[in-house]
Amino acid sequence: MKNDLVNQQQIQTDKQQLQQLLSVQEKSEIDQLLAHYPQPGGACIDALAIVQKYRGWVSDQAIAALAEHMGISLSELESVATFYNLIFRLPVGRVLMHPCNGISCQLLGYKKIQQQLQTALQIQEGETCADGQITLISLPCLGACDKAPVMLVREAMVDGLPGTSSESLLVNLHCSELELLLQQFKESAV
Amino acid sequence: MNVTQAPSLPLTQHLNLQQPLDLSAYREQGGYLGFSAALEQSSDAVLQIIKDSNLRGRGGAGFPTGMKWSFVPTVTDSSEPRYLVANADEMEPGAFKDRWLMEGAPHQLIEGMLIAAHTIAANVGYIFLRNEYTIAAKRLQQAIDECRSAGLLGNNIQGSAMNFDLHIHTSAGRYICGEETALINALEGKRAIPRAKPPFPQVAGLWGKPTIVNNVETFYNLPNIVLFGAQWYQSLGAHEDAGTKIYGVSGRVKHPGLWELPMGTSLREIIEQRAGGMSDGYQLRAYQPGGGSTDFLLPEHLDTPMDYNSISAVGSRMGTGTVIVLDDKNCPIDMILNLVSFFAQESCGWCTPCREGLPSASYLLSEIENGRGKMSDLDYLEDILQLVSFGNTFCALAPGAAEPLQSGLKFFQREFEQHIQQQCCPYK
Repeated sequence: MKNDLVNQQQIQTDKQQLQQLLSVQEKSEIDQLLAHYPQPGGACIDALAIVQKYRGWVSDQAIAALAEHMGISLSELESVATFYNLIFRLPVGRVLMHPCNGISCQLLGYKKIQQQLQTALQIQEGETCADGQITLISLPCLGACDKAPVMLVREAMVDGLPGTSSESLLVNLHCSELELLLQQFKESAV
Repeated sequence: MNVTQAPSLPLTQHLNLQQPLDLSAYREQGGYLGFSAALEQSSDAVLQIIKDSNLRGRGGAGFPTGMKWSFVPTVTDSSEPRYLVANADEMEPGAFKDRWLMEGAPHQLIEGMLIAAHTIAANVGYIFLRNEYTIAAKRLQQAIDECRSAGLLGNNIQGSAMNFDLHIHTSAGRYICGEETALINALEGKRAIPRAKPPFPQVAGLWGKPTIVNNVETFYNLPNIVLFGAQWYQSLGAHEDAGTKIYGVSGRVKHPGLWELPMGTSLREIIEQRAGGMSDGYQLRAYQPGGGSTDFLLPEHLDTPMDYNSISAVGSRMGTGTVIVLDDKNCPIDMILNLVSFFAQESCGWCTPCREGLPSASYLLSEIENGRGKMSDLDYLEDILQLVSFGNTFCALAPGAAEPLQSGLKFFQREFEQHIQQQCCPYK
């Protein structure tokens, strides 16, 4: 009996700690969402997206806290989080680079672009640079096939990449964070 | 204002990709007149116009829109929610038409949805939008906000008894979300696995309530059909099917792009005239007429009209109407490998043939492409095609994935054998 009581207390403490993990801002946005749905589960995907917006990814602690806050089971939330391509359960870099690996982009040079990026960033597909700045994840057809090959950087579409020429493919990028990378890339392309 | 002149390009008449029309500019050009005309008529009358127009769903399957709507039960309890969903989860490889329409004319989607909502008595709508379509998301949200302020969304729309509000749901990314029952699961915040039918969504869809899911392009057809009538709409088609269609071409052609053309325009006109033919130094090898999940066709099929029945008759599908062109310098096996790998990755894992069959096919294709193939692999691939055929799987994802593979095995038999005999890819 005593042990049970201790366990109960421990669980309560854990729950309180979990509750504190989410920021006031996150909780407020999630609560607004919950009001729109007949059942709390309906807000799962959007709620995960809110946590990811502020943290870059969804950690074990964050997902447990979210489940607790929404009043749904952790396994239910986890099953949703792991289903979708764009909910990250591992840390990602500050900048996400998504070359399109759809068929139209492949026909016009995706593989070469991906190879160039891997070399320039010194990482493989799905990995993050050692400095934590950039993560490389190819995405299926981005719906810009008339401008193939394309790449999504942060939320900006970079199109008309020179997939078949030797020109540096990063010259079109405007993100200031990528200047260093651009420099690196130019050097390696010479 | 009154619009008496029917447009020759009803889907793209308001399209402006740089700066889409805001509400007042859209109205000045006759926007929302189709909705006003619908609102003045009974829902039955509008349904009859849509049925008579022979509009077929533009998502790929080509199901008659009016018939789909007619399965929604009549309203018995007006407090019960009924849902309308625009399927904007455009993830078919090689398809890029819905993004174009939404970025260029967001108000026309809302107008089409309002007409559909009036017809089926829906009171809540969702635009199920791809996460990556951020420009479309911003422009649609702006258009929705404008409509709310102007009383085009909300309660008692334009002084009528109609209540309808519209929300954007941003997907977290999975191809299977384009399947309508999987999409409904995703909207409910679940894993997007397809549901058993029956019950059909028209009767028991989102949260168990009557739900209609239509493709984005389908909605763009509605305002002018209501304004100018079924007969006018049918007269737009060049062959069997009614209306106009957004056709597109990607791959190694001179001018890849999208065009609104009469339904049933020939593939030759689309590829050679509109897209300008192959880029210099490249020959047309084959093409998929309607996106990544459609069977390959050959140059000898170029004079086929691009409509549902004509494309079926030559062994493929109209699909999304966006053509992917394979040139003579890209390896056909590598193209099939790319497509099958995509479908294997995007399988939701719910039913065994798809979950197990597609990765096996992807593995065998990669062995062949990378010079490790065996002649017996071709028999295995044929077996897998049987395994994932219609009737063996829960939804249409795997049968769709099988299409480029089955036609590829037939048309590129020589290339398959070359890869295996030479133990390398001759295109590398």
